[in-house]
Amino acid sequence: MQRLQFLRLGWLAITALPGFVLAPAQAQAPATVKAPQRSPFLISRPVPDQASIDRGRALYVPTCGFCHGTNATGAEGPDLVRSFVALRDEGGNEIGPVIKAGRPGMPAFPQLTDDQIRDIAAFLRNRQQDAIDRNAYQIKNVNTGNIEKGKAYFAAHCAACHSPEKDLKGIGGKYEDAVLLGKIVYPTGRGVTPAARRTVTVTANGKAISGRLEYLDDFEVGLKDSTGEYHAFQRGPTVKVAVKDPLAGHEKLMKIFNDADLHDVLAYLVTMK
Amino acid sequence: MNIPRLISACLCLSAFSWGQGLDPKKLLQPPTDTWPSYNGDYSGRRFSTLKQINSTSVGNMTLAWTYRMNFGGPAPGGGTMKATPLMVNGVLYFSAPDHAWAVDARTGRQLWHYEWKSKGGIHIGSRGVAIYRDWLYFETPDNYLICLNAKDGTERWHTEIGDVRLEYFSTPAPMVIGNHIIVGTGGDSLDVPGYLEARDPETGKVQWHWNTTPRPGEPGAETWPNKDAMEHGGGMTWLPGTYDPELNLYYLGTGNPNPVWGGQGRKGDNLYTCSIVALNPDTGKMVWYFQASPHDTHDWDAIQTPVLIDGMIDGKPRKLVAQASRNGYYFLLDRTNGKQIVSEPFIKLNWSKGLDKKGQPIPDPEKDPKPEGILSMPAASGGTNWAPPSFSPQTGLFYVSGTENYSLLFLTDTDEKPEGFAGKETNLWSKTSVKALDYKTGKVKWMHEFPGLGGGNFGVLSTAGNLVFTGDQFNNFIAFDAAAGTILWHSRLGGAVANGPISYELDGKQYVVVGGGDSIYAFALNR
Repeated sequence: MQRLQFLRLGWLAITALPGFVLAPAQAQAPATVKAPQRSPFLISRPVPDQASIDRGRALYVPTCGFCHGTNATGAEGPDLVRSFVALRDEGGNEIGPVIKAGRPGMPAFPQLTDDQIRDIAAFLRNRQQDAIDRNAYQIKNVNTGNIEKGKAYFAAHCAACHSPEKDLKGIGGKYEDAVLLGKIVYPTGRGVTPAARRTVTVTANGKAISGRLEYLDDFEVGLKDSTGEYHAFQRGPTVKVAVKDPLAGHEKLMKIFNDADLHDVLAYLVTMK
Repeated sequence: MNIPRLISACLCLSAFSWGQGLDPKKLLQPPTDTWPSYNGDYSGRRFSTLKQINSTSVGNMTLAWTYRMNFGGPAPGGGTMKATPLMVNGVLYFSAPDHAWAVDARTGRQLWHYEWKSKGGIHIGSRGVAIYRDWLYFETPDNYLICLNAKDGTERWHTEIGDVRLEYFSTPAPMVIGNHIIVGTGGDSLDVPGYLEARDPETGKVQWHWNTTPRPGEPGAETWPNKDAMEHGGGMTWLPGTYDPELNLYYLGTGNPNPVWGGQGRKGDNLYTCSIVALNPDTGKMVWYFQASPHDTHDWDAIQTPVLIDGMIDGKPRKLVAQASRNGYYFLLDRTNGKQIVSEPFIKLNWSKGLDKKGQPIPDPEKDPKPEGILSMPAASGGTNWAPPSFSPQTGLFYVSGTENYSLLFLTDTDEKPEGFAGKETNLWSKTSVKALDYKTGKVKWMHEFPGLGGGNFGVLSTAGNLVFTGDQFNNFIAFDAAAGTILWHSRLGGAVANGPISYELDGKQYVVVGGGDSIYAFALNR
């Protein structure tokens, strides 16, 4: 094991050189590249400049990647994404001395300039912010179901309200698969048609009035009638409230859906381009 | 014999002025003319023995005053009143991220405001302040413990309790036990290890430090695959705990493991994350643990208040601890030793294959987040969340704001060693209710489901006036009959109930005080 490690370190010391040589060419990259959009709620430290990140990556991969992983998540050497030294770093002030002097089990890279170390620090900060910024994570392939099974499930459970030729025509091209998967369970948000909205009939003082449900809590009910006028009533024993919810079927299905059914139905809906 | 009388005489005198310090003995008494710690007393019951406002008189309860948090600039973290105020000698003390205030408890008039210049950190909330004699303590998003003079809000000292550069951020209200200021910290963005510390009230120096996850060779290390996983395994200490002075044990719920939704790099139970633990508050040594969610992969921390109940089980008096946990289970344990008595779901859930020998739920790996998505019930926000529950010894009911909810959970980081949250969630549907559970069985005695959809998690207060106070998702603050569950009173606030309501008596008048949106509302009887 000792010998193997030595060999690898030797290899690394040699490959470090091409990285160094490559760097000036990478430095020519346009400085106008926009820094990635980050969620301000999650990211409170400065977002590095994209050109610096790119130069840093070009240096890091051949110089450090073999031991620390090309994504900096660790290999033979430690993970640098969640390394306390790399997290405490600002512009190379913490990682610089380690890179230049080495550590037990890690060779020194005295040839790297302060600017190059700053670029490596920018690359590492970007990798850390990739992990921290969960809003920017990318969902992988979710269309893993069986079309035929989905068709059968649809016929048995969904066809009473939905039709591939009518309301769901073209549904497969309307949304990203992950979004559509959610809408199969319970359709809310963008693209939900007025037909899915709850309506209400309120009976008060012997008079019934119906319309679109605007507000309902334990104490008040509000609706808009067909002319768009708003009516509100204080709830009580003499006020009857009858809500009609077109999505009640989804609430029932939601409780019995298993993950395979869900993905089968998705596979079937995706065919409705 | 004369000493207790002397003490009570001093307390009576001090009640006529404000801005005086807190007698530490007050921390051991049921809250009446004070609310001296996060939960009112060490039991975590949030039960007020006051009954001027009761199920008969509550109809006459009306607004006494409001106070809108004055940040003197932009409000961090949305400016929501998430703190439970303390009330000592006629003054309310509370916090928001980077801010603390003192307000006259009779009128809502601001007495002082303190602002901390932040270095960063996630500004999501501050659960409140702690008081030790004349000194207030609160934690900031950039992980400073700040000690203020309660009289005027001037800073006495500040000390770092966590490194914001590692993605720690602090939300808890500190807890005072003896001469220990017990502080926790949070931070789930990038796989940092959780811990709890006791700090010296005079200097802020560390008295002890307890890691929520073991280090190699320590007990519990066998529940992690390797050193890296346990040292980056999360287990945050987001909330203050409860305390039994007779047993001298501090009860704390710990946070979920990291990476949050990607469990493939941390196979095993991941102790002591998602656990109820009992610690000696003088040494920080753990005495027992019970794990609410072994190997959690859903963000279901078990930080919900471990409520201390002195009850009867099978005809015998028992020292108990109860928790309505974020994973949807109600747990009842023997608090002397952590032995399980009840594990009963209080909402619908689809992730558990039953209980193990210790009474801990067995997770179903089929319901681990997957790249193609799984339907999770509850959603990551859980069957309940951080907002405090309440227990009434009068009704024997445990009141919790519960949510039935569904979401899709996607694993986005499929690496064998994922990082951060490692997944994404789509929330689909939720319905909110308040549930009254029989503390002995966890079965629902009554529940009130709020109309329509929408999640929420609202703090609860119960009182000897046979009342339960909590909120709904429509900004209503509601009083229920504690025994029957019927609605007796409500008021629509300027924002949803965002903290745990409290109650206190001043000049013979009982107040009920709640945070809604960016304001505090105080209610009292109008005749």
